[in-house]
Amino acid sequence: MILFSKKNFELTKEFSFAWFKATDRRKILGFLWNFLNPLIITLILLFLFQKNFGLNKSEYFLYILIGTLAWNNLSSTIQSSITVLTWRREMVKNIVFPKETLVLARVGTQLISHFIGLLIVFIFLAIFQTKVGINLLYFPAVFLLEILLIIGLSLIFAFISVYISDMEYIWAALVRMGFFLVPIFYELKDLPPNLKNLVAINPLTQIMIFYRNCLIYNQAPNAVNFVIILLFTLSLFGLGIFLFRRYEQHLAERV
Amino acid sequence: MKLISVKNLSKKFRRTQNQQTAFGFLNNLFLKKDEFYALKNISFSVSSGDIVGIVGPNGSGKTTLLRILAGLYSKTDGTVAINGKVAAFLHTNVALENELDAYENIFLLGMIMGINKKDIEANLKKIIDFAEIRKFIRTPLRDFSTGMIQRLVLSILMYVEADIFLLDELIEASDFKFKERSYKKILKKISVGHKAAIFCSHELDIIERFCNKAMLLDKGKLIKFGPTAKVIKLYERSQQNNSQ
Repeated sequence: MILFSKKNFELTKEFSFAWFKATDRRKILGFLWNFLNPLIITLILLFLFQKNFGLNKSEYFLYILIGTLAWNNLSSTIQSSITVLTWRREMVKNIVFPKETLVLARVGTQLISHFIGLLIVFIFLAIFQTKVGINLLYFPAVFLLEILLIIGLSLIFAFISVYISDMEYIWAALVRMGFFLVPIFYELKDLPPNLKNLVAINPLTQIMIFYRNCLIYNQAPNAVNFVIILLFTLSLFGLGIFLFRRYEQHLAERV
Repeated sequence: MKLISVKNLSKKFRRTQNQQTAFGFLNNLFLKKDEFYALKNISFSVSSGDIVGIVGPNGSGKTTLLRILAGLYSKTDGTVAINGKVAAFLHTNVALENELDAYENIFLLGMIMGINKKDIEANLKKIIDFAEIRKFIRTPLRDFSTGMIQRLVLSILMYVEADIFLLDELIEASDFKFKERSYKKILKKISVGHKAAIFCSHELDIIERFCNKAMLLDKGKLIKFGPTAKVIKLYERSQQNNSQ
């Protein structure tokens, strides 16, 4: 089976938009929540921690906003992917289609929200007239890197959740801890050395740094770090696809 | 031409504890291995033009057999040779979205059933007319009755291209008129394209009218496979004996 045939891509796209629309129609403020959620968190963190950091207010606002969006994108996408196979149990058991499509569509749905969220970053970049320059061209590559990481983790966690039903709660606990273990509202240089190394090896930390470099500081991402993270995310992605393809029938029987 | 050839097919499942507790999880993982056969030594073949009805009491293995033929479940033993494209419709509204309208759902379900978006667009009018939902095309599915949803699903299925159709009690809840139209349309599709169909139903009159072959399953075993009338007679006799 071709990894991403046109048909599978079309199906993923159709489900992504359908689920986005279906969720949107259940909210009074609809898609506006995609702006409001990260904005509210950013303002709270700005209010709490602004005095502790050397950055000026507008720079620190963008710093937190980018961190919040990257973090929300990863945590909420994986959260919704973990439950998708059990949520769509009857589909998994009764329809012949590549089951990873469901996970990819969950990622796609969140991606639409994330795109809308990113719009506010660009609006504020314009308002604050930051040093946006040629290195902004790295933004799509960093964005794709994050999506690849999210897809890989989503596939693996969704697969495990069929066998360990508590996965949803384990992830929720990891998210609560993880929020403080990635530099959303603090800078890596401010951490004690041992903790700094632990936080620095997290791929999401590096992705946040890449985002901030190209969006706020007009700097290119560190090439070595970028390649390491790319190889790591490709491995996760490959493992996720392998699990789904190799154990597709077993998944349908167990879910 | 043989489209399906099944020899000594068996399927074993593990009877699992409720995994919601830590004890249930550990028990499933390490301790108890309570296995049972959902299907045991099943052999039969289906040729082009055949319409096979599967009958049997609940839990006899009908759906498991269809799921293995569709490639959804693995087999434990035996061989299953499929010669052609399979389309399986084993549940009515599994891919539908209640918050979306009928129009949006036609594309969603059609595409997951393997129909190209262009083909859905080309047949959209026919699908809507066959389902008799023209006035409700922009109505969210949550406001549809069960019968309307079933008509919508079946109308989409009519445009799926495959050599072998597997259907599981899909048309049961529809009204008589629509049921007749659906079966006739499926039959026409099969006879014209030298295709085959296997469907499970508790409605024996439907099996008798539309199937040239039937199989009786009971507790995972194939009791009889052959001409429909003989199989139905045997099933009715076994039902009567059980009720006495």
